Amino acid sequence: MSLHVEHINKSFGQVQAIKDLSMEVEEGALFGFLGANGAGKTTTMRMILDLLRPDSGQIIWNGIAVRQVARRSFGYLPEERGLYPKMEVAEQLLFLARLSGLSKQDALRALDEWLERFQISANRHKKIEELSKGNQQKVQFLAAMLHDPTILIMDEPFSGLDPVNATVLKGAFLEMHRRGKTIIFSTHQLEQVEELCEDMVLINKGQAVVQGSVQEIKRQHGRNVVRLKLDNDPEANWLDTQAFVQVTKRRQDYIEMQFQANLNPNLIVEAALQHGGIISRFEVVEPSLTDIFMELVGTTALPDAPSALPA
Amino acid sequence: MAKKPVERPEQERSAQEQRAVVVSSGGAAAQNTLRNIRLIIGREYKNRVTQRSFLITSMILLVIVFLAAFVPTIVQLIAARTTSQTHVVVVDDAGSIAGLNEATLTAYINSELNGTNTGSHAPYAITSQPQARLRSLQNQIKNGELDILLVLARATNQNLGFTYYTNASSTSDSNLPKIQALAQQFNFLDVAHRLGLTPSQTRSLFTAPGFTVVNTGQSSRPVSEIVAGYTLAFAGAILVYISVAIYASIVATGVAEEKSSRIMEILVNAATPLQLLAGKIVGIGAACLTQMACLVVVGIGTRLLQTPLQAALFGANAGGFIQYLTGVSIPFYLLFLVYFTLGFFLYATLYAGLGALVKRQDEVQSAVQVPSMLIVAAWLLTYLAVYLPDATWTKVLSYIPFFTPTMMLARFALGIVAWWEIVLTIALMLAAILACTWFAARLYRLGVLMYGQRPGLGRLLKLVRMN
Repeated sequence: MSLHVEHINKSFGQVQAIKDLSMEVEEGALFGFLGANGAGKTTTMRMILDLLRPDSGQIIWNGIAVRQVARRSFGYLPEERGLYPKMEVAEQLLFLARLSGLSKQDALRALDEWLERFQISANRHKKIEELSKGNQQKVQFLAAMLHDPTILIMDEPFSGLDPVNATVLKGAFLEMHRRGKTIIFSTHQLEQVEELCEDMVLINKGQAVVQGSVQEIKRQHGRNVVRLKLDNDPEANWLDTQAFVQVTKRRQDYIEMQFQANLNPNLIVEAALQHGGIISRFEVVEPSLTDIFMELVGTTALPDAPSALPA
Repeated sequence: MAKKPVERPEQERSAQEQRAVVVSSGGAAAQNTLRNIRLIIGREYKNRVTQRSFLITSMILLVIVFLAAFVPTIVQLIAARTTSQTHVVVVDDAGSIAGLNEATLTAYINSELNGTNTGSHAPYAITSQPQARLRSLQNQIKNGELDILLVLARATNQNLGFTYYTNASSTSDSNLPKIQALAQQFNFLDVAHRLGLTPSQTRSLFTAPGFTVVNTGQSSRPVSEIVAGYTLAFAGAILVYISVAIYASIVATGVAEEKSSRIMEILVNAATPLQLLAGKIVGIGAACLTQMACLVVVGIGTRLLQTPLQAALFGANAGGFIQYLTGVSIPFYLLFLVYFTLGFFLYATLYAGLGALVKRQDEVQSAVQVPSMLIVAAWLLTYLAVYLPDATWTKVLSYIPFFTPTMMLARFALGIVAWWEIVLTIALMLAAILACTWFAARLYRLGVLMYGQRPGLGRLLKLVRMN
């Protein structure tokens, strides 16, 4: 049982935003949805939610077209956060939950539970605009999941959060995952994808560029990275002539280079020793999604968050 | 792949937003239509009614209506206080006039000017003074101790001459016409007497001929009722105009607010655009209707209070004009409510649809230009119509749904409306409301996720037709 996106196309006027996109999300998976800004993530999400209809192709959840699936099954955290600023927290969450189909009692019960969990029970009767940004994000999160949806679609759920609040939300995230919900989320913080996701898809210009399990993709597309420091030869220009490596960075504390995944990194050690280098640092770094991202998507996009770049 | 410079993400985003993002209709969200609409109405109503600006405005309006109802009474009170009796001194230098002189002359003048009012309620206090005191009387007029000095004299040809001394300014002297009429009468009596007519013959000269007015046009109504009708026509038209304009634009602002706070993204996920549209209009309409109902109730209540109040203050002399306003027919109030509600829904749907196209609240005004011009036109036309109630174009224009509320109400107040016209106009308005709702729903679906440039009218119509 899963979500099947099958060969969907969507054009707006002259521009084709989504070209023949297909992907599959297992039920209960934590699915990473990656792509540059403007690649078509939001459009695809809206089509999964049946806010927009694709020009051709179909989207099926558990054998039913999403058009027929009850609204209540979906929870959506939009990229542009938004709530009624002058409405009280409890009242607003109740309204949204009931609009999504929850009964009043169930909504109240869920509200109490989650406000407690997020430690914002004290803010029940405050207006949204009176809350701090972190608390607003929490409320936004709750708005997306209070009605106990089966599929959670979240557009950059952790953006703009300080580490403390990010941890609280991540806890909720994982709780949902534990409860068997299917979670599709997009993010530019690729380290989170590596940390949380089992499967992912990377789309660019409306097309799926690569998809599958995170491990597989790293193995297939990633280049291994080696950091080398030679005490007596800081520049190590001889590396540029080597066929199996490509120097990407020269720093004071090391030289970083990429080499083919199936090659033995010991070759570099041998080469260094051959050139009479004194090795003070040699490190094999796991392939990073950032590099894969950059390579596949090109220079048209820059990921956020400096922490995503390997230091 | 062609070489591409590094594009700023914002540019990409705005290019994408230029395309029309049309939200789908129907689907699973339509299953809960009634329930959702009810929820949305509830939220809108509660939100609007608890807003501080709404409450403050309501308070202010209530106070204004309350005070305004007292104004006629207060005006009368002031008039009664300040206009104490007008003192008239008559100096008769003309000898006997038609057999009247001294006391009988004064009595005659008294009965002419005061009618049946006697004592302190009489508007005029009339005394007679000898000619010798003329100089000092003139001085009394000059320094305001005396209101009116009337000197009767005879010219050489025996004709009566009157000199009227007063300190009041010539433009605001309401006594002059009365004294002039009195003088005319005296002259008549005098000449008749000198010609030798007996008093009974003179009386027969005075008798007015029989004069019957047959109004073949409409039912004949007393003048004061017609005047009250004019007042109601104007008042009703203004009220409908102002309230529809204000309330409908509140709807538009509310929609724009939802877009600018971005809650719209979540809302369209949980409810269809039509549900959102309907809920918003009915919710805000209900809140505004509540405000209007409070005002009307307070207005009527205070008005009704005036009758016993005026009776207590003035006795039987309460102003007749006010009576007609308080006693205004129930049908008028009912019709006012009906037309106001229909007018509101008609304009509110358009406002809501257009409000969905903007992305910030300050853009709302320019987006709703067309319907707001229609409202102004409706009001102006009503003004013209009141002066020309029987013209054909007035009738025709009052059938156009956009102008119906103000014009039909005015025409009804003037008493020139047939019952089938009311039925017809209501039916036409309902049809127009349905059409506008369909159009507004299209605009809504088009606009709720559109955050880029608002398309011009031509492109807008094309988009609506395409989708």
